[in-house]
Amino acid sequence: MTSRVLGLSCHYHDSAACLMEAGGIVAAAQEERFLRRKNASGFPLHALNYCLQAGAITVLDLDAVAFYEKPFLKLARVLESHLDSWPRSFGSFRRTMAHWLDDRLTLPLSLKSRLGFSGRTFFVKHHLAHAASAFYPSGFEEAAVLTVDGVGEWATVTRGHGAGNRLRIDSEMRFPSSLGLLYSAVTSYLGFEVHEGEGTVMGLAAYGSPVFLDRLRGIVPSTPDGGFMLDRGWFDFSGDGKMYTPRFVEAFGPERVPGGPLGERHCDMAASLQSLTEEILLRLTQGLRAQTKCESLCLAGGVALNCVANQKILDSSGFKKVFVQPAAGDAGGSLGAAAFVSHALWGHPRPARMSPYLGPDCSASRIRRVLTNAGLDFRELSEKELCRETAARLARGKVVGWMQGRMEFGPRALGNRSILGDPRHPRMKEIINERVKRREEFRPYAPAVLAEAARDFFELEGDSPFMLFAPRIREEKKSVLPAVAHPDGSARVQTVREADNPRFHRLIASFGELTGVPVVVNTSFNRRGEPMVCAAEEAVAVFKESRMDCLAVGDFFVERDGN
Amino acid sequence: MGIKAALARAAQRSADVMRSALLSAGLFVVYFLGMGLTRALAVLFGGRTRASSFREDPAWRPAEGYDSDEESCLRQS
Ligand SMILES: [Fe+2]
Repeated sequence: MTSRVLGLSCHYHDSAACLMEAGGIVAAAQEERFLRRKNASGFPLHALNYCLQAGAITVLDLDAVAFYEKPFLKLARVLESHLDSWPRSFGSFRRTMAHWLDDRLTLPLSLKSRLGFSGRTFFVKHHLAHAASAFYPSGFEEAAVLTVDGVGEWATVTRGHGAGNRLRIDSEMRFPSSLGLLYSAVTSYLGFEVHEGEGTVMGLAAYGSPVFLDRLRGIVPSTPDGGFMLDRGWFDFSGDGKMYTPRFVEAFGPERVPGGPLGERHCDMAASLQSLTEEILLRLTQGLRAQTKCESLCLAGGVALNCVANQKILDSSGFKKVFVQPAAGDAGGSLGAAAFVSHALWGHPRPARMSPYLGPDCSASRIRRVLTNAGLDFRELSEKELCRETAARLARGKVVGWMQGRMEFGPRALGNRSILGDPRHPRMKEIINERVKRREEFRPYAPAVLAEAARDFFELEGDSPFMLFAPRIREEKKSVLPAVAHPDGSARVQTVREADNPRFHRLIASFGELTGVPVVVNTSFNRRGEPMVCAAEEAVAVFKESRMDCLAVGDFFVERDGN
Repeated sequence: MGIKAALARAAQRSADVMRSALLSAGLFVVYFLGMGLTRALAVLFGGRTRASSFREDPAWRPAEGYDSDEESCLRQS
């Protein structure tokens, strides 16, 4: 019986691998964590080797490989886009085609030459892989499915429906009408990096007013069912140059130089873009709700990482439950491709609930060796002591690096590769920024709260286990959580259930016992511009080079001198 | 040994340069002749590329090519 499938996503951005066996997700990880280069896009050799290792198998034990798109269809779109902007696009054509000829058209050959794999390779359409990544692990028996991203082969938005092991895509919108590309275009106009700065723009939006919303609506005409188009006079997605035209700059003012000062106009532009995105997403989801009559919605695609918009969908679309998979972007395509093969083609049972902790763990002996080699004094503690000691330091305003168990799959740190702080401390955001993260000061930090106490602090129905919703902080609790409150009164919440992450749950509970507030600040364990730490060596390096106060890695606790 | 390695490196470098030059030349021909001709024909006969036709029509389209049988999933297109 066919059982093991390795899902792969690569050659665009954020490449990843995922191993599934008999319907269960064994392992999944992004290549960037191993290469130590953000959004690494090449063939995910390290990630797939990790997956095989985690499954205690070799390539020969795989029944199939599943890829997250159909390369020939995508190539057709790339060629036609270049044709559309002929003869301006030669530079981009030359660069793009070199990549295509190098590795993108020859995946089965690459698998054979690099891995010795000569079994079957399935090619799952990009948005079908997104849809599968959201529906199959959602736990919903039946759900409407919406995928929204930059672009796959041709599709940019799809509407579909899942029931049991069946998943169907009903309709789609196609390139260049793309909400993801629109968001990326304005992100680059605002001086932030595409694929990296979209979250920053979402954070910036809360500081501005949507004064450009009407003008944006004018250049992105839309229909009541969520359909929209991008006016070609304003945007250019034909090559790898600027995604907006000189006309856009004339209308909205000069683009911001990366790293340059941020003014009111930039904040207003971010707010206008965010409002338009929310408007379109709400129309899409309300339409889908009316069409399918489903109570549950599964969302995927890079746009589904917009937690502020997700909250609006949860509040106003009519769907009672919304599931967003933790690696909603293209990395999650590896999971989606594997899940589609496993459940739709092979009929394996679906998992009851998805854990985001699918990456590598670090053994106690290795951690001990790393700490010893680094010349750090450490104590080995029981879980109870570790949580108490950490909670006590947090309550004293200390910044703690917290590395435990298996690494998270997806962009958010969910309590296994996290930097933690006290949310009651009015300056905690600045302290974490000064000591480790060095992020833009307007970007918020997120709270992790015990799931059972979440409603006491936030206006949230249900769970937000993957930090992909941004509910409002309850009015009476705003003064209690100054470090995580965004100017619009929202917070990007992670709700932590004991069953999902017992040690992190215990730590927050210990902090709650000490302070009466079972909430901690939770941000990803990394230095600016680097991916999240993966191994203990990287956690120790960040600890040593930053001014973090403590490090809890596995059962080991390290304090900087003078604490 | 040192000289041999240096020679091998130099040979590899010139092979890379040659390969890159050939690739550029090939892509130049494909782009300006092949695609240029296609473009000219499209203009002459009033045809449109799919990219431009989609741009002018924002409506939803029925989904195509999302079949969920093994045979279609084995295809790259
Ligand atoms: Fe995508």
